[in-house]
Amino acid sequence: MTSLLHLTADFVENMANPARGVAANEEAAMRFAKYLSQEGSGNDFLSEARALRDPDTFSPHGWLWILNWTKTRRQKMNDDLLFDLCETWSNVFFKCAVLDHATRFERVGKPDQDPEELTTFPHSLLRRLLESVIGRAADEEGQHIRLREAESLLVALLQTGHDLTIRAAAALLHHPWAGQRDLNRSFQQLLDGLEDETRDVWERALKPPTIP
Amino acid sequence: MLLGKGLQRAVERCIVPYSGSLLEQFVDDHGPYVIKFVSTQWAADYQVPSPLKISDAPALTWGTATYVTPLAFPLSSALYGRIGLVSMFDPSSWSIFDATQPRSRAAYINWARNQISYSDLLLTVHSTEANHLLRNKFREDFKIDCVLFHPDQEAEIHTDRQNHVWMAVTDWIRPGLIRTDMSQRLGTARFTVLIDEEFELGTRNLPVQVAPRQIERVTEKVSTSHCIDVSTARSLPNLSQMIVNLYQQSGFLHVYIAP
Repeated sequence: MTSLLHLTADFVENMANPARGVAANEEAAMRFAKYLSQEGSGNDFLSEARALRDPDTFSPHGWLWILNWTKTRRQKMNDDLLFDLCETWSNVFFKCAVLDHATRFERVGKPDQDPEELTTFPHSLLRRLLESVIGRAADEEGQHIRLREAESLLVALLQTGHDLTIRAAAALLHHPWAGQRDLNRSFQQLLDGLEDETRDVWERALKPPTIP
Repeated sequence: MLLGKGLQRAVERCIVPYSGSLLEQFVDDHGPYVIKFVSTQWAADYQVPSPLKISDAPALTWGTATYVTPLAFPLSSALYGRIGLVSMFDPSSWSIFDATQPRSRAAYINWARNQISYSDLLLTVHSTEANHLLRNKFREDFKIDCVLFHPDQEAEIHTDRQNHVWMAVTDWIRPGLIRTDMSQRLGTARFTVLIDEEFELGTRNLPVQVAPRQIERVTEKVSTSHCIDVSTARSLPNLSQMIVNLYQQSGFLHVYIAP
């Protein structure tokens, strides 16, 4: 971690961690905004953030703030870091923040096939994440963990709701792998929780496979 | 937006233009001004008109926004600080989600219930961040410029949860992407009110529902008091005697900053 980020890590935590209380969050945010409004400070901090690689630099709260702040400046973080963040923290909403950051401004051409093939998915970070969750597991326990990770990624892709993430979710549902049947069953359970019209919208968008 | 038409329309029906909105009534009666109370350390930064800071802490009622009160309720949010910053604003083009209405709140809840992540929202530990992300998504998806809502925290006597209305104002980086730094829409805030009161906001960092007054609760029980402006007090040769007298009478001296 660079010296500037080292100094600001605690500040970011004070701004972003709800356990510190709203008053502490607000005070730190005011102070940090004042710092960032100084000539050149915003750009300095942005270039420091751009160089980040280690997921341990901040807590999940801090990362949520950093991901959102850089997103509003249209500054995409390093793909390896974003991948590691998704791998490190299992929380669906944390993954949503990473996926939103990674895909909000991305434009990828229309798919050649529908659904798309997971292994050739056109967005490299999403492809890595998809391939990671369907990776071969050594034993039954490992397979169970894979399935949980796939379910978590699927919900995050769907909840993020960008065209790219929906396409990635469709590719995941259609990809034949050991957990495909269970993953599609989980997806159907998610749809069962929705009112009928919304459920139809999701089914039309995802066109989930019929698995006997 | 992957949402059934019925749910989408139910939300859209609750989003109204400024003209004809509840906010318009406040502006017509009290002018296009809002107030935000902050701690005293920021007084110097707002000696000249300056933008308010957009709040983006996770534990906020409607997500990332600038939280202010229409001047119709000038002391309603005094629990957040001694310094009242007043800003002009121009809401003429705003889309307003009036969450003071039960049907609007129901529309939001139905929307949230039909999010694909709803079970994770209910069944995982990070519900504060989850709600924050969902509230932002809701306001981004429906391009809501301002949410009107009844206070969910109150300052004893100063806040009326049933009748007061607060605002969460959205600044946009571009349509559908919420700004997080300084508000352009509330960009002329100036130190305008100084209030002699403090409120206890939380216990162990958990927000209290009703924040008790810290000063007036005591002073209202004291029958003897004297007021003196601080510059006079500093040069008063018999100040110490005055304090001793009040002490002996179980009274108090209020040293105030003269306008």
